[in-house]
Amino acid sequence: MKKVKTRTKIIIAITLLLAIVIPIFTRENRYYMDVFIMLGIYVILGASMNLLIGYSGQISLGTAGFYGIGAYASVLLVMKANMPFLVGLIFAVVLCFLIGYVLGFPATKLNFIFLGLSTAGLNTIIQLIITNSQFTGGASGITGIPSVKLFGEPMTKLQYYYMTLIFVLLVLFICYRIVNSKTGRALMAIKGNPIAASAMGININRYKLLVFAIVSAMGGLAGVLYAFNIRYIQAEAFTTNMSFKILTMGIIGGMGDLGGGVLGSLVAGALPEFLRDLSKYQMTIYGLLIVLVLRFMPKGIVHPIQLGLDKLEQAIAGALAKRKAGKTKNKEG
Amino acid sequence: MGTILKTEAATMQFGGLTAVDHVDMEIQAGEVHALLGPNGAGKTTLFNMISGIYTPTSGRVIFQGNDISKKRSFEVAALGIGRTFQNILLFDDLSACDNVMIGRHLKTKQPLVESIFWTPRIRREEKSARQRSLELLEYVNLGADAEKKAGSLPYGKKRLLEIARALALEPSMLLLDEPAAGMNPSESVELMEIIRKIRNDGITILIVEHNMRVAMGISDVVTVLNHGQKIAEGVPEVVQHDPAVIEAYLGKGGARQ
Repeated sequence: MKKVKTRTKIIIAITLLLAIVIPIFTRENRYYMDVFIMLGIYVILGASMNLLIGYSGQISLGTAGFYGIGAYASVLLVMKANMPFLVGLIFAVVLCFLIGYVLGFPATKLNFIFLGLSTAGLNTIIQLIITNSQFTGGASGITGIPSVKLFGEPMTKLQYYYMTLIFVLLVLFICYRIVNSKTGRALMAIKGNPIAASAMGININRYKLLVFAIVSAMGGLAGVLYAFNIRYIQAEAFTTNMSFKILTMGIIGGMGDLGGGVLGSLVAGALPEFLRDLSKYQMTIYGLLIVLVLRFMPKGIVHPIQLGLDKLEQAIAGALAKRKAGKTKNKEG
Repeated sequence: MGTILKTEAATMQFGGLTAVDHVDMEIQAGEVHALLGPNGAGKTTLFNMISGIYTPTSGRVIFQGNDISKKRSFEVAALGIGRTFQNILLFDDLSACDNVMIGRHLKTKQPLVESIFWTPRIRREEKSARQRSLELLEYVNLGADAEKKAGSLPYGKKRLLEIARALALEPSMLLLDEPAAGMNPSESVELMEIIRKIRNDGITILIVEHNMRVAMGISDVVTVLNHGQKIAEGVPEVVQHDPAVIEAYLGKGGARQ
């Protein structure tokens, strides 16, 4: 069992505190609340993508497909079968897990690049089915999605945000546990060297399917949270462009680093809000971002921050030692 | 003790090239069996056929009475054959200890759902896997390097780490593919001692080795391959003087000296 560094604990505590407190002040502002909820959803997507690429060395350009399946499955169950939100959510997550398990089959046969292409194709197929089916409301999508109720009352934006935050923490917790277990080690072994992993008795196909299904389930969960916040869904939101955006979130923070995954999701997720005037060029910016980060910071944007913190830590330790030494000197004097 | 591994007319063809040609070989439980031969003789190919990386084109590989010719690599590992690689295949970004813990994969009982809930059993398993891995690192004299990244270790230590990782499977048979390659003389002496220790612990060893001092020094039986065919087999002292073997290594005329 690895020990979590004190520094990591402090960073987690501060981040969590900010995530809890800041929205209290902005609870009346719908725009900010929607941005914060979306950032939570992005963290789920980015973290799952980080698990897939960073730890198991696979790729998916089809995550938005599962994001869409999650959204539509939960909404349809809630609206057509009059089920409560939570039932819709669980149904969508389980469904995405199962579909992910079946559709993850190419992952066991194809190498990185072809897997990327085939999952992108998968995404397009899912999107086309949604657009062309009467059942899913066709191209015009589904409107009038009921709001999620808490104790019989519709949730406020702040309450919805906190619910999202709980799911974010749950996903991160699950990722952390997976990474620090036999399963995580098996995934890292497959990424590191498949031949050696297999010689250690690791059933590569089984683990590839498993991680693919888990990531799909997480994508589905994000889709549910998205649909019931916006309360209007349309196939447009689940294109390969979205998959590409999710890929960016998973990559730029730092592959194979959970904290990096969160940071990458926040940066890539918040970016469009700061660059509203350039929204036409969104995909160009994401593309550039990937190229620049991979070229100049292959360990992700989290890496220079870590190095900076290392220096700061040393400086503080040095200063403390000096002060201590000074004190003993004074005493002697 | 009896035969632990047997190949029956094991053959491997890559297109028109026959890399391993009808090789019959028997390995007795408990012995150190060396596989020798010039470059390109088919030694590593035979290793890959035994360990499930290749499926023999024809012929059979029998391990403890089971036909494992068509078994895949992870299934062969589960049956109790551990191996190292000629070209060192470690998980470079992970610590030495994590590398060995990956070798404990099959011996660690951690169902995923339980892992997520971090139950006492999972914690116990994790602790014992780490404990056992550290012991194995001690066993190959790498106790001090447990937390170093595998990729940062010097060449000789990487080879030893591969052995520790393969031992983590608790195999009944260990395949070592040129473990002394790139080692200096004192490191190879250390390696020979470790190999003897493993043999004394009851693990059968099949070893490919170019370093003659190492190969002849530790093996009970030697099989020599050339151009994919078995040309000699027996105790090292006899095989060393076999004209066919000398010819394979030195060319025609070498035997006259």
